[in-house]
Parts: sequence; structure tokens; C-alpha cells
Amino acid sequence: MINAILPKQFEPAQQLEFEMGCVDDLENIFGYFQILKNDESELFPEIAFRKLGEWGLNNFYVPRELGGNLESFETLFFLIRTVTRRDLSLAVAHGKNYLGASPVWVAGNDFQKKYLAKIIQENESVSLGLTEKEHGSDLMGNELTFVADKSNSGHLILSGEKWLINNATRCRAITLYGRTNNHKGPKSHSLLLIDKNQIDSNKFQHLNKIKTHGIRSVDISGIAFNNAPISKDYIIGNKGEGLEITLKSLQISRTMCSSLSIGSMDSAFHTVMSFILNRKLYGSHLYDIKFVKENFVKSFLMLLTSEALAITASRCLHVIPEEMNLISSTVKYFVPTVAEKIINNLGNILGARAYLRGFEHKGIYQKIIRDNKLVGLFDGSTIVNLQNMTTELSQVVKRISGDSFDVKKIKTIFDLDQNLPVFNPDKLSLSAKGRSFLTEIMCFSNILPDYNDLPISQNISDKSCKLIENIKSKYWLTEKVDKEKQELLEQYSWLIAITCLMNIVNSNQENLNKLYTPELKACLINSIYKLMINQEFLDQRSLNSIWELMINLYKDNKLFSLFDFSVGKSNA
Amino acid sequence: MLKQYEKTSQLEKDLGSMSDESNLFSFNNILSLDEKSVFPEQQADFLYKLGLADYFIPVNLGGKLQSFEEFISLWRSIFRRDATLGLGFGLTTFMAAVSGIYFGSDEIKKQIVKTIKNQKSISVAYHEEDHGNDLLHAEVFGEVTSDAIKLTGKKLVINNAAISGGLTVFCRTSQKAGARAFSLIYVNKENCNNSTLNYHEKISTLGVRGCKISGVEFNQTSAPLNSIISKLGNGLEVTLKAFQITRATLPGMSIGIVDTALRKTFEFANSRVLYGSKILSFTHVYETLVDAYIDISISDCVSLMSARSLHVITEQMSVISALTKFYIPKKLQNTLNDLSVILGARQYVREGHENEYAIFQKLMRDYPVISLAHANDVVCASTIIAQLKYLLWNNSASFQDQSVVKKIFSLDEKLPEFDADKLSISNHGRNSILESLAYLYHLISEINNNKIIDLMNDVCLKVKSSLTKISDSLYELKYKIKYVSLIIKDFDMQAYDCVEKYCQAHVAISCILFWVYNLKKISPWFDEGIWLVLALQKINNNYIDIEKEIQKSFQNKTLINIEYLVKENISFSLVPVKFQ
Repeated sequence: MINAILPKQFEPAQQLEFEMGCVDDLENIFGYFQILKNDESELFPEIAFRKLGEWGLNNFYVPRELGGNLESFETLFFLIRTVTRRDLSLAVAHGKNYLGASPVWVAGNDFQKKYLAKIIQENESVSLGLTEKEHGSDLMGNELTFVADKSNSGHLILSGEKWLINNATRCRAITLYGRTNNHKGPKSHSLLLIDKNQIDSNKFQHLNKIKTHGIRSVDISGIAFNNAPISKDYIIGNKGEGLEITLKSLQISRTMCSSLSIGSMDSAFHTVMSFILNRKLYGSHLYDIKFVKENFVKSFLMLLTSEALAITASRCLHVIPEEMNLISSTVKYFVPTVAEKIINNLGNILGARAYLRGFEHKGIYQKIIRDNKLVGLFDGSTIVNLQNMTTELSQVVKRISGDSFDVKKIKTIFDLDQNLPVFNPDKLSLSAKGRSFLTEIMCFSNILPDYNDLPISQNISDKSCKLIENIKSKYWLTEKVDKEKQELLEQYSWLIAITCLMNIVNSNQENLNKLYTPELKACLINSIYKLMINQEFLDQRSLNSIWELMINLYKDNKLFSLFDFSVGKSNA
Repeated sequence: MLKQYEKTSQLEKDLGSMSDESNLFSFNNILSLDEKSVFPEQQADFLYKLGLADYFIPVNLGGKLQSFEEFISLWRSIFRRDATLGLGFGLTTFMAAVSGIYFGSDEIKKQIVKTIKNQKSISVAYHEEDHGNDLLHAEVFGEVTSDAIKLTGKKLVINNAAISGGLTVFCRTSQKAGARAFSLIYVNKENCNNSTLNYHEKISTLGVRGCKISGVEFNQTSAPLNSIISKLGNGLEVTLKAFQITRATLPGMSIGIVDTALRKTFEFANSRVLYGSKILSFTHVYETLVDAYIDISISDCVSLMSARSLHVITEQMSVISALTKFYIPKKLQNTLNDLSVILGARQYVREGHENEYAIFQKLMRDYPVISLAHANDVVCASTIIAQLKYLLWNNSASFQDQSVVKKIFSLDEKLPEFDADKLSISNHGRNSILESLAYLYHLISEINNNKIIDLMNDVCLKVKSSLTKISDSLYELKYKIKYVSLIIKDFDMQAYDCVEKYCQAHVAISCILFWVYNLKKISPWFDEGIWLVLALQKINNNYIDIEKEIQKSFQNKTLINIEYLVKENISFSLVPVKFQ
């Protein structure tokens, strides 16, 4: 008899899930009915926001070393995923605190870290002020300035505007990105930690809330500074290091964003599953129509693969932080792209109900569609991440070899029982200069004793090596991202993700939901490979086995996940 | 200019520019109505004044509907501005009227014409909450007595239900199983007891927010026996035929939405500077813009093919209409998604004063109604799969009448009057368009030999080579289809894939035929054929091989053409129409 234990790093999320109650409960502020009401009226979810603070979610944005609860990024991932499953708007509004704080965790001094930790633990918000109306993702183009104060050498004068900033109005503190010199080049900007309490209220103003397509209830506004003095003590890292620190912080946030995509998928599955089970069409249950079942099962496999990649990446932040540029960009490209596809596919199954806003008509779904679209937009769009992957891979393909890779690392990364090293932001790097552990195991895991019996690992390795050769032979770096490159990068992402899935299921047994027998595990990996790499159709047996798994998960009130995570009602 | 586009040109002038703030149809006006979920009444009144509602009525009944090609083109101009208006003012009335107008008695025709002339909409009532569009399980019941038919039951998600002048209602009229248990009723609200009609409150939607979508409950609502369209028990057959007309025409109108999307996205790309350059110069940006333009060109070919086939090969429309509704909405939804990536955050901001591209999020929310309304891609695919074996294996179609195909594709040939009696629920294995494969090679060679036009040899050669690939794919399909079941429950991804491959072949041939039959009639850009080569590649990249340098050159030239069309304010359609 296989026992199932939820890995302890996911325990906080499990507790939060029970705390938030049942999504279908009309009175529940964490239930779909109330959430939809908020969305329609564009009102900020004050009560839910406060309750999250009372539960102690803020403590998880602060590292253990500073008195908070954050140890493993897996914990943060699952917590945000859990909130997103209810309401991505709420997750973004609350989780923004981590985004805002991360530059300080990465490069701040002790004083700044303690200062910020206190603010967050007092349940106040910190925002990230990065983007401007005219410059979007072009960080070096930003115009908000920190100019030397001629009357006080200990100060900088702050002028300019930030646009489309989450929590800009509600926050207490903001990590602000601005220009500290006029030279062209990467050393032109710095990051400052701004506490609004320390700025003369005449010298700044909040910009109006901007009405958005999705995350309607969130405080998306802006802030404008007018010659506001700020002490140089609040420069994060050193002057001129703004871009570098930001890029490193983005490696964390791009990885963590996967929780928003996966939480959205969780939401979508929950809604459509109940619909499928109850709806009849053409004389049969919807799930008896083969096309519907195939779509649903395929989407489920894509979800599991994304989950595997996301968890792997969360652990890699601890184990191989120096390689996170490529890993985080892969995650940020892959997971939101998959999420959009799945949410569309499942929406097609819902039919007209994916278009209706009333709660009684599964109105939550159109909110999921709109909210989820956000994830591909911020912290580096698809294209920015593909460009990043291009740059890194151009070096990886030159260096890669199966001669020596640290087999022990496989266990550290993929066995969820293994303790992770404390996250060390000093090890984050703007480029891994060709090192990529994940790419190596993707190409060469077939030579490992554990995988010799798995024909699939041979297939993955063969396909991967061919892909690498393909990449090597092209004028890779000199040209910008185009369709051809995008196709190769898409294939790369799938192979990496499937490799992660294979390694996670092979490295864990009791850590996974007990339904994942060895046969089913093999079926999952073979099926996703067949579907996404070979572009073939699922065979009837695999289709039925996986559908049965999904039914069982649903009936047991378990999340559609590799892990034994309960949803809605407490099993106690 | 081709005559059938003159009215569109005039309409464009009448509707004016969307960038003009003072214009009734300005972006900001349309956006603010959408924000408030209010129907554009003033704009609808304006359309009534222009006499546009007359296009729902054929000429022989005193209206203006003569050519479906012209009709689609006019509505495309409306959809360019506002899908809510397009749907609420026109489309749902058209969908509702079509069955009565073409299959109803003279009395019903008269009543429908009167309702429309009175500037009232008509609602189309098929959809039920528990059955969606699964007609065979419809529950609304029509009890036939000696002098009336009494309706009981609920129809939900019905546009204009509460305010329309009439409803075309699909109901069960017999408890026996089978296809003859259903009838279509035209319920004229002037002829029935309105107190028996109970309207649902407005159903709020993701897009087309201003549309007055609600529902109606019939409580023994009595309609005279002559309200039955065609005959008792003919409901399904009339419906399937009426749907052929609407499936064939609706998708082409929706191209208007994407025209606006591409126009605005191009403007953005041409003005936005990032990393020191206009983003238009970034590879992925201009590739996406070029792709979008080609997608529109392809969709236009499909729509024109469909509209004109309605007149010329009316009996083959069951497959062609399903193909049109299958192909265009899915393709253009993807186009919109791809364009949105270029806009970045500006696809997400709703307010016009904060974001001059705010219209985009409305386009994104409006467009899905085109696939959702009225048979999505899966339903259409299952229509096609049922006939696919016959279509592929029908060897009796050995004689091809080239003049028939020529009439469809030569845009300067006058279309015969549409005769609904020729509609059939099966193609009986015929597809004159695909059958033209047999002589297309020869036709293209003729063009090249006679040097009808100074064509690039490249284009001709490439198109000819694609013919071989298209033939091959159909041949492969003949054998794949043997393993596919025709029962709807068994409809699976393999079957879907077969339908997709068949449609791709048909679409590709349609594009080629338009090119072949309209040289020197449209524009130099059209004649050059670059659009065709890129289109064939986009339809299925196995159809054609393009060397990398040529690909770049073609993309570049297409981009220049897009720039020209935006600058000169000309439509992105196959037949260009100048805007105001």
C-alpha cells in the first residue's frame, strides 16, 4: 500500500487552503461568488487581503534569517498558487509584496533588510516601481531620476513618474528604479527603497487607478515625485547597480510567477471538471465525447509538466542559483504560454459559459481568462524571455557535454525530501556562461543507471541532442528572435519540462499522491512526450487511465497535482 | 472599382473616421458605451436611417439583399467599428429572419419584412440552458391544436429577446424520437398574447457587453398555425439549411474586427520606441504583423469563396459553410492573440485617455462571440467529418465544369440570384472547388506562357509546386479517413485533424483560384502574388518551400504594403476599399 505524505514545504499552503474554505460557498470571501462580485464592481478585496495578513502570509515574504518564515521558494510558490486558485487578483495584490521586497533581499544592506522586514511583518505593503509609460520593458530608457542634492551631499532628489504600478497607492514603501547618471549604458540606473512616511507629502502624488482588462479590483495606479529628497542610505546595493540588481531579482520573480499561471489553471480545471461531470450533450455525458476527454486529459498532462518545471525551478534557486537566468526565463516563457493554451482549451469545453459573467453561469471563468492574461505581460514578456534564452543557450550549446555532471545534484534537486541549501542571492548571476545542469541531464540522463530501463529517457536524450545540434548550426546569436528560433526554443522548453517531470516522478514516491503508481507514472511521461514532442495522438488505454486518475483526484477532493494536496474542505 | 464594393465605399464615408472624436462611431464613444454595458442606440438609429436594415430582405421582397458578397462587405465595415452594433443591430436579426424569408410561407415573409421595416429586431431562439445548441434535445415544446400552436419552455442567451418584434423559435412538436420531431416557429409578438412571454433579466457577457442578451420563457404562448415555417416537423431540415447561409456569411463580417486590430497594432509598432528603435524593426514584431495581414487575406478568400458559392454552387454549401465557420474564427482568434503580444501592457488598459490603444481589449473580448455564437469549430468539424469519406472517395466527380468555378472566383462576374431551394443537407460527395485541382496546373501554366502579366516566375513555380503537395495531402487523407468513426460520440482529435487537413486544402485552392481568375482586376500588389505564396505557407507550411532570403524579401514587401494601406487608410481586404 502506497502512503502519501504532502512534502512539508507545502504544508503552509495546505493550511492556508483549509483556512480559505470552500470555493463554492456563497458567503465565503474566498469563494468564487464573492470574488466575482468584487471583480464586477472593481472594488479592492480589503477583507480578504486583511485576512491573509492575519493568517500570516506576509511572514512568508521575509526570509527566515530576518525573522520571517520564508525558507524554500517551493513554499512561496505553493502559497501563491493556492491564493491564485481562488483569485489571481488577490494573489497579485498581496504577492506583490515579495516582488517589491526582492531587490532588498538580493542586494540590500542589513539596515535596509531589517527596515523592510519590519514594514512587511507589520502587514504593510511594499511595491515595485519599475516601469514607465514610455519605456515598458526598456529599463535602460527609464527617465525617473535621482539627482545629486546640491545642498545636501547625503541626499538625492527624486523626480519623475512610474506608471501601471501594482499597489502604488496602497503601499507604504516602494522599491524605485531610477536614473542616477546620464551616461548610456548599464550603470546608469539605481534602485532606492522609498518609505512614503519619510517623504514630504507635498513632493509626491498618487496617480489615478487605471482601469484594466483583468485584475480589475487591484490597485494598478502610479506615483509621481516632484523634487523629493531622499537619503542616500536607501540606495540598494551601490549606485549604478540598479539594472543588475533588477535583473537578478527578476530571476526570482520570473520563477515565482509560475504560481500565478498554475493557480489559474487549477481554477480552470476545477470549474470545467464540475461542468463536464454534470453536463449532457448529444445524449451523452460531455466526458463521454472522446474529443472532450482527449482535450481534458491533454490539458491535465500539460499542467503536471508545468508543475514539475515550476517546482524544479524553485529548488534550483537554492541549488544552482548561478544558472537561474536561463531557468527563470524558460519558466517565464513556458508556463504562462501553456496556461493560456489550457485556459482556452478548457474554455472551449465550457462553450458559451466561458463568455458569461453571471455567477450562476460559471461566470468565474471569464475572470480567469482575463486575469490570467496578465501573467504573460509583466516581468518580462514572452519575447524578452525568448531573447534571454537565446543568449544563454548560444553558450550552453558550445559547452555542453555528457562527460561529467554531478549525479548527486539530481537527488538534491528532484528529491523533495532533500534539504535545500539556504538561498544565497550573492550567487545569482547575469549569465551562467554556458553552464546548464538541466540541459545536461535533459541530453544525457539516458546514461544514468536509474534511467537505463526507461526507453523514454533514451527518446528524450536523442531528441535533445538533435535539438542542441540544430541550435549549434544556426546563426543563433546574431539575429533577433524570429519564428524559426521560437519553434526551437519551444521544443527546448518542452524537453526540459518533460525531463523535470520524469525526474520528479522517479525521485519521489511517498511524496506524491498515492494514485501515481509506477505504471501510471510511466504512462504520464510517455503520453506527454507522445503528444507534445511527437505530435501524435493518445492511445485509448492511456486516455482512460489518465481520465480515471483525474476522476479519482476530483472525488478525493485533491488538487490536480503530483502532490497529495487537499482542496476546499478539511479532511480532519 | 468592382461594383459590388461601391456601397461599402459609400458606407465607409457615411460612418466616418473612428479617430474623429466628434464622430458617433469614434473609438472613445464606442468604448464608453461598452464600459457602461449600454447598447449603441444612436449608432443603430443612424444605420436604420442609412437603410442598412433593408439588407436583411432580398430584393424580390422589397429589400436590398442581392449579393451575399456585398452584404458581408457592408457588415465588415460595421464590425470594424463595433461588434456590439454589428451583432445587435444586424446579425442576430439576419440569423432569425433567414429561415422565414427563404423557407416560410408568403404570410410569414410578409410579417418578417414588416417587422424589419418597422425598425424592430428579430431574435433567434435555438439555445437552451441545459442543451446549448444540441438541437435534438431541445425541450421547448410546441403543442399543436386545431387552430394554434402553443409554446412552453425557456430559451436562454438570446440576443434582443425582450425588445425584438419577433422570435424564430426552434421547438419540439412531437414526442416521437427522430429528426422530424421539431419545427421552427416565427412568433410575431404583435400576433400573440405578450403576457405569456416572460423575459429573463439581461445576461452579462465578457464581450459585446452592450448587447441586450437575455432569454424568454413561453407560458403556453399561442401563435397561429401559419406561424410554422415550412411545415410541421421540418424544423431540423430548415434549420440546417438556414444555418448554411449564416455560417457562410458571419465569419467574413468578423474580419472587420481584426482589420481594426491590425491597423492599431501597426500604428503602435510604428510609433513605439524601445531600446532606441521603433519596435516595428524588431523581427518578431514585423513577422507577426505580416502574418496577421496574411491571415486576413486568407480569411478574406475563404469568406468571398463562401459568399459567392452560396449563389453559384448552392447545393454544395453544407460542407462549404461548415468549413467557413470552422476555419475563419479559430484562425483570426489566434491572429488577435498574436497581435496582442506586440501591444504588451497596452492591451490591458481600458481607458482611452490613458491608452490610445484601449480599443484593443474590447476587440479581444468581442471576438470570441464569433466562434461561440452559432456552432463552434467542433460542431462544424463534426458536420464535415460526416461527409468526408464520401467527398474524398467520390470518383464520379470526373467531369468538372470550369465555368462554374470561374463564376465563383471571377469577382467581376455577376452572381446569379440566390435560390434557397437549391440548398441541400449533403454535398453528395461534390466539391467543385477542390475538383478544380485537376486543371489548375494547366491554368497556371497558361498564365505563365501567355504572359498575361509580368509575373514573377518564382511565384508561378511555387504555386504550381504547392498543387502537388496539396494533392498529396488529400491522397494521404483518403486513407487516414478510413480509420475514423463518423459517430459524434467517437469524434476525436484524429477526426478533427482530418477535417483540418481537408479544410486547409480547400482554403489553399480557393486562394489560388482567386489569384488565377482576378489578375489585372484588383491591384498590382494582388497580381504580384507575394501574398499568395505567403498565404499558402501559412495555411500549411508543408504546402510550399520558400528559401530564407526570398522569405525575408517577401515579408519586407508585405510590410511595405501594410504601411501603405495604413497610411492611405485603405482596408486590408483582398479588394481594397478606401476609408474616409
